[in-house]
Amino acid sequence: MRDVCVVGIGSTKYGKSDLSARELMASAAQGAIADAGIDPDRIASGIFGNAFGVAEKQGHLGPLIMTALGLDTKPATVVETACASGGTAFHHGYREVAGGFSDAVLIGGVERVSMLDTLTATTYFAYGSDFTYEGGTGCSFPGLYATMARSYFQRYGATEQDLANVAIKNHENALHNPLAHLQKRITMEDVMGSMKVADPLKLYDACPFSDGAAAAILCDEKTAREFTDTPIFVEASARAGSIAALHDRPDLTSLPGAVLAGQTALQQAKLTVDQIDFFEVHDCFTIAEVAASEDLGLFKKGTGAKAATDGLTRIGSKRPINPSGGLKAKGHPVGATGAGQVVEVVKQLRGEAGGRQVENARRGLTHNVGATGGTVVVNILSRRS
Amino acid sequence: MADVESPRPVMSLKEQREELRNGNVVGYHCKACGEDRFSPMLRCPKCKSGKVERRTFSKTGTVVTYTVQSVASEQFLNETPFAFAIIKLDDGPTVSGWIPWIAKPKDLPMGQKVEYVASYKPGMMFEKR
Ligand SMILES: CC(C)(COP(=O)(O)OP(=O)(O)OC[C@H]1O[C@@H](n2cnc3c(N)ncnc32)[C@H](O)[C@@H]1OP(=O)(O)O)[C@@H](O)C(=O)NCCC(=O)NCCS
Ligand SMILES: [Zn+2]
Repeated sequence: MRDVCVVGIGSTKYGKSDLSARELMASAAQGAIADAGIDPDRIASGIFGNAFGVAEKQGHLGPLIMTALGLDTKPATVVETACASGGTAFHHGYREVAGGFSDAVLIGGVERVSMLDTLTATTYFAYGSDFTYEGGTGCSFPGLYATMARSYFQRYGATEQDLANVAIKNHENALHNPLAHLQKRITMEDVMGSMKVADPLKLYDACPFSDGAAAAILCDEKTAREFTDTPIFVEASARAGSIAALHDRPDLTSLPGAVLAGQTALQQAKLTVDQIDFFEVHDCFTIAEVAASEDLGLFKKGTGAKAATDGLTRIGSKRPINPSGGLKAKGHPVGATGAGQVVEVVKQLRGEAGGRQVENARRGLTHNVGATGGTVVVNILSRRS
Repeated sequence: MADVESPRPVMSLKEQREELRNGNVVGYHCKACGEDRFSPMLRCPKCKSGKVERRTFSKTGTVVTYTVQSVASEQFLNETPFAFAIIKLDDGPTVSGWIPWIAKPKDLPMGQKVEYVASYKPGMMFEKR
């Protein structure tokens, strides 16, 4: 296996866009190509995450993106693992380069859903569940995480206020992220008074419906050094799964696939969690950030909610979580999210994160969850210097 | 293995829906370790045995956890607010179900006893006992 490096990153602004998925993805990709300074013709293939392409009545998105980039003869693949599609695209790009099949690969993710009304979007998103039993029985996506939140509250005595603190912190971080979807400071009163979506989760516990795309260029180390003296290394890229339907799981306060992918990634990188400086985790709902912080071993089981309330996850604390603003405030263009997490980690490791910079960031971890953990991707990146 | 048809599940989802419509809660049972499941299983996730059969479970159970849905998807638009719940059947596995007429958490204590009732809607509907 060869060492794999990220040599270029690009991202559109997250939010409501008038561009289609192909245009969004091509735009982020062009940003990454320019950032890398690579001749685009050296890119061997494209791998893109996209979850709800059919919402635009368009399948087979890959060639449309490549054609827009003038790379029409290069093969492209679109992968779908619900909200982990972008992370999965990164993982497969990593394998293609690490395995020696290609020296330069374009990875990314994209979603366009803002043309759907709330009802239609809620219906589409429910297709990401085990629809026969969950979505088809009336459960929305927020509903799945709400059942987990109620289990967590009952077992550990945490409160809605603890979860609110996750949202307040992520909105605060996003104020310093010009590409974030929601740039608005919120208070405890705002969160507690916001509309119930799926009790106990409210509007401000949820990520928004976002459009957006993110991209990265992956190269083997030798090729990477043609473009930069300080490439960002992929120290680990691990995946794992969980039973899809919540009702078949013995414990609803943890995602088994996240525990497994997290442990595998740390083993691959030969690191302990204490050696990671910050974490971009999948906070599609506030409870998901709490579960992630425990599944990855940042806090003991049952103490993650209190840690959020105690401010232990802010920038400047021991365990900064989601300096970008997370899915909650940076936004969640479903298929783009995992690729966007990589973009944020690279920015942080290069020291280019402005007002949300984690000081002396040397290593960062991404945690990207498909649905309720049916797919989980965990990556660790470092600047090795 | 020329031209040997691959094995079918012991019960199709279509057959399961028909059973539910007739008021029967029917799922899958592992003859090797006794694991019960409501979702399709061709090989037991617990003991990895392939000895799976269909089994009729009890209609009564207990609410393990739930949410009150205020924002619903299309098929349940006219049912809001209602509860989506994870329910442990008294004699059988844990299943997903929905409970009508639940407007706030006070209407549904954790541990509430419920019973399956056949309904015209997809999915399993339960009522408080
Ligand atoms: C919570 C939810 C139902 C809101 O629906 P919506 O269609 O975005 O609501 P609206 O468009 O009516 O938004 C109303 C306002 O709230 C804001 N808003 C929307 N979602 C928000 C969120 N999650 N947090 C904070 N503000 C939000 C909008 O910007 C809008 O503000 P404006 O009136 O100033 O423009 C929806 O965002 C949702 O279901 N989110 C979860 C998505 C999901 O499940 N993703 C997959 C997870 S893995
Ligand atoms: Zn078994």
